[in-house]
Amino acid sequence: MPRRRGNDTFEDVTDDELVARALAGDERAWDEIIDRYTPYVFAVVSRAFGIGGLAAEEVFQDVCVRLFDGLGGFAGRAPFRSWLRAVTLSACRDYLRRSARRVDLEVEPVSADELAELETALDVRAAVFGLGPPCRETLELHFFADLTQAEVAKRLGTPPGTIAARVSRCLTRLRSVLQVQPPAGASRGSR
Amino acid sequence: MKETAHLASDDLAALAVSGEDEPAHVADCEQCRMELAEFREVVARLTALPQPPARLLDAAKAYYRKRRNLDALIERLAEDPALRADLRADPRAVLRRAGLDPTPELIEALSETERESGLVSERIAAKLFWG
Repeated sequence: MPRRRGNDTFEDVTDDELVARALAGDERAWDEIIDRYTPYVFAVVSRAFGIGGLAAEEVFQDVCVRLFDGLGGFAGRAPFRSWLRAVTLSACRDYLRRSARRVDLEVEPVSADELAELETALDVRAAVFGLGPPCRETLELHFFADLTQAEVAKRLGTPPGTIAARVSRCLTRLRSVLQVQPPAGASRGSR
Repeated sequence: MKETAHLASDDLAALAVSGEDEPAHVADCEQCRMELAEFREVVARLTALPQPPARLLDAAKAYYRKRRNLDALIERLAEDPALRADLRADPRAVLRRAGLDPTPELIEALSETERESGLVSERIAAKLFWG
């Protein structure tokens, strides 16, 4: 969802800047961090580790608490995403160890491939933000906020036909930015 | 094979989004088929991170404000004997003035600030989440 508050927009603000602003007391910077990364964190918890229902919410809470407590110490020594991933994996493992009542339990994601796919999906989200308006807001509303094209049109005050054409055009741009390879099943010579 | 014009990229993108059946040309054209597969891959990646429940997002955002309010209050309590006296006399009022919900857990935890200098806010952090 486009994150605009008054004249402020955080879409072009880097993660490190957001962290610095959140540490300085800017509540909106924290909100942006949550908007930017909650889908990823929640997907790692629920899909890569298979933690569901209320337990997933509990682990998500734990990640947020660790995030708040760790922001000061993080201080940009590593890419924010790497740090957040480590925090999330650690929270998942700790939860599963607590559940099993075994502190020495070796816990790994259900699927390493799944984790890699979530990382890639996060790259795609970043690429969408990099497209700039109007592609960014259109793709965000349609694919991330899961609105229909008619709903996107209504939200943006644009004719539905314009939105449909824009989605196609923006996907074409996104594909060229990402340099996506087709899945193996669609490779050349598979006819 | 019958020669027909390739589909435009935007048309292939629209096809990937709609999930509609491929036109006959795509089945026979390796170039269009490959391009469509790439668009489908892009769409799959775009939808791979569904939005979590809104209340979870809201709670995560509210946590920051609550936690900062709590940390500021604890800092002031450490420095201000009059505020500590106020807390003993009427903890609910002190918490409300600090922008915090006066839950029993919070009142109990804050009463410990006089006994411990430790990480009270961190210990009650999770309780702040949904409060």
